[in-house]
Amino acid sequence: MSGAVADAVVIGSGPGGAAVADVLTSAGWSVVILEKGRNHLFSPPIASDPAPLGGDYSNDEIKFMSRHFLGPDPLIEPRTFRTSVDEGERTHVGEVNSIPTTVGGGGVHADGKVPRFREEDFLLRSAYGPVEGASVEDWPLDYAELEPYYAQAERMVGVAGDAEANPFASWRSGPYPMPPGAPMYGATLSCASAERVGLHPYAAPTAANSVPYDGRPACNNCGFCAFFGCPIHAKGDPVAMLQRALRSGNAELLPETCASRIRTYGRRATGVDVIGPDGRERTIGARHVVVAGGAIETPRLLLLSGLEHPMIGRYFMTHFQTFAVGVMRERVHSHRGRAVTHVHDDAVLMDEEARLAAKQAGLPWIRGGLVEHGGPSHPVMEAKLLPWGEMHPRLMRSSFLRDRMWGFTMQGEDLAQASNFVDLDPKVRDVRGLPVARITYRPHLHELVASEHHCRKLLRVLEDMGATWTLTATSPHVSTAVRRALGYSGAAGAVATDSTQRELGAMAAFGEVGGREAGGYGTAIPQSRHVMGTVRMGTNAATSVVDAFGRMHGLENVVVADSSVFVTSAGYGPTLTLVALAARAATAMAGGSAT
Amino acid sequence: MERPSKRSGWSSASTGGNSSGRSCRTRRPLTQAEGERFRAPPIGGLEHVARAASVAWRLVPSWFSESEFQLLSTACARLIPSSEGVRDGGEIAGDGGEPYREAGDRHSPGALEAGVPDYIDGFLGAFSFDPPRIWAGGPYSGRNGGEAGFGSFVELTRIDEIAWRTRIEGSRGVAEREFNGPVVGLQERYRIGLEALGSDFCEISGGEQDERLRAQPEFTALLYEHCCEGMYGAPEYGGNRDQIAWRSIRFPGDVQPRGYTDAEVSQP
Repeated sequence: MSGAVADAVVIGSGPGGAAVADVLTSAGWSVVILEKGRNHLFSPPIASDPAPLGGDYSNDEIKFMSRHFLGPDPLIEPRTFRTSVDEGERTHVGEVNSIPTTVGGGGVHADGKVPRFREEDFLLRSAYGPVEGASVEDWPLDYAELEPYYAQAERMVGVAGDAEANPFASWRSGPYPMPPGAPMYGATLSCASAERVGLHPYAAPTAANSVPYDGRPACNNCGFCAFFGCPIHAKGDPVAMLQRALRSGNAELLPETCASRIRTYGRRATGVDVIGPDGRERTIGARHVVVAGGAIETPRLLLLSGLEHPMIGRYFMTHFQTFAVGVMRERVHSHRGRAVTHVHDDAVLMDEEARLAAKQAGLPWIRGGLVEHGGPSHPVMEAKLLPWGEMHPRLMRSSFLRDRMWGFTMQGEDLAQASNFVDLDPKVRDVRGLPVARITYRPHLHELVASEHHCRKLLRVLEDMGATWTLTATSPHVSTAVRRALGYSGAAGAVATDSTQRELGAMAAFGEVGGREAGGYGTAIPQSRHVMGTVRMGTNAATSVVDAFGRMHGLENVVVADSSVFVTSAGYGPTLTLVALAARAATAMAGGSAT
Repeated sequence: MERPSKRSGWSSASTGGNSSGRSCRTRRPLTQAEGERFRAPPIGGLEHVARAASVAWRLVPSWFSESEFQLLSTACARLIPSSEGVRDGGEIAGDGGEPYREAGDRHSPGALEAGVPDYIDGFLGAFSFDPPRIWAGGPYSGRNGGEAGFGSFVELTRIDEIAWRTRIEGSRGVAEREFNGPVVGLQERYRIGLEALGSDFCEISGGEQDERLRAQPEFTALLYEHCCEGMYGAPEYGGNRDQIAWRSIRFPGDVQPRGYTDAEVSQP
């Protein structure tokens, strides 16, 4: 196929690109999938199988948590960061959001919580109204249009869940493909306490097989889930979608091949310039170009390609994470099980208490996000948080930061702001000599108020669980200075702590900070890997970059198929929604309807 | 695991307050048979550990000089000392809440028993091996069934090699490593950091050793980070010998392909 013109060149092999490749190849299109990272997902092709499962993933904390096995390595593929243009060109060079650069993309490292958004998430402006300083808009499509593709995405990825368990879920056309897996012991405790406090926990929709599915085995609860590739391929990373695409005979996967520029002629793209494993450049001709590099790399490539729409890179969103964790009297062994088995949605909803909290802060409304019940499970991470010296062995044996810790992470909705964006750094380069992405980001007052409000309730749950002590933190860390700048006057309490040590404890305990080269502990750099919103979709070509099918306004054979297109961030992990959108976009390209 | 003798050199180093050179572990020179790049498990107070280790002959490049390795070992033992146990769990200060009590009086191994200096030596000398010892293989260690794959390290690509050589060796004026300017490598940071501890570091008291470590916080933070990895990471990287640290903290380590049963997940 190389040398010829492909029906579609798909840039990025994560969940979005994989979904597009799956749909297009099944429609008979020839597809070239470009991935700048390595291929550890599959072994080299053999005569009987073009995509045998790989054997490089392992239960190895050094490899995955300290040595960048899934990429990106911040030394050769850095990003830069600042909280606002007032800070100068940048304040940080290195790791900024390390969603993997590898075949399978972010799907490989995720622990696979794949909730759907709710109906109101697509109609945020209509349902809730505007917020000063933020760009709150409706999506150009609604839940009903996306629902068939949500169902398709759940089948394509392989999702285990209980359709009846979440009282706040939007309607669905059918059950989950698989029942939920075994609840973690800690979750049985936290769910009971959460119910006593008036919350509604349920078995998390999880992209990990609870029974054999698609020829892959059921998850065996090894516990090395979030941030690790699955050694037995029980996780619903894009493996099934990529495997189907490759086995169709219509797809070619080119790992270690970096797209450096989309070539255009008039209103059409004609191909993609790539840098191959040997460092040589060439051009691959394409009838359609699908960009699925994630909400940081996708706008970077569009800017490297010289596309000049002023909205490219604009409205970068992440999730504002709130951690509330407690030390238990007993060991809760959170290293057994699939990282997170239970969640609750209550913090997404507006109730009287939330209305009051919003009003006191001068906001029309606040929305938190999905709350994950979980605990830390990795001892190297635990050890790095402890002091060195005589106390070290005892603290490790008592394991108050790991085996006896349990708590919550809230993935808080992050409002889109025009002042948060991705552009090209004017000086810093990657190993291939290309300008790197620069992220300019700071949260809106809304996120702080929602975090503080919902954190209080989580502390009540921990108290009910009998935690001997608790700590709370947020990511990004919001310094007193930024708080003042945002006009935040929250009472001293959960989120209003400035103690970096405590932030560090809570964040690292939940695996949200990487090694020494990570963006830094307790910093303003958000540690959430959920990134969204830099190539916004909409009907107006002046205020959005792509249409409701991901097609770029004015360049209609270029389709964006990842979370870049999100209009709002909702309070849910982006994966299932981006897969559903990608499947819908690809179906439209191929002229069909949801299957 | 056999309880180490209190009289062995590394044990007294790790409990502090020792004023003699015994705190430094010594390494015998390589024999011809061991070749230029490989050597036997270190001896001198560690024979019992070596015997217990699942791998009889480990492959460890000697990146550090003898004197540097002595300094390194002594410093590691200050950061993660062995502990003579916590009676009935004892009160664990610094954990902020109620004391956590655990029956028994167990010895907690320190960095030297776990082979942490060998982990660091192996990391800085990773490129003495082919493939370089950066990423252990997969999918299983063999400790819980399946074939032992961790010991076969993953091949590096051209780009991987640029990244890891730059990180370990520094950019050294090589153009392809200096796309954002010069980079100081880990090897140089260790050479400078160990030298700054002073050539008499092994002879001074534990308290004085701690003061010198605190006097250069950047190097000590780097060293501690590597100590944690060598202590609690997979044994295939040269540390956590015979899973000694995992057993001490009751962490099972890697568990594939066995995994855990649903009952083990959901029950206390």
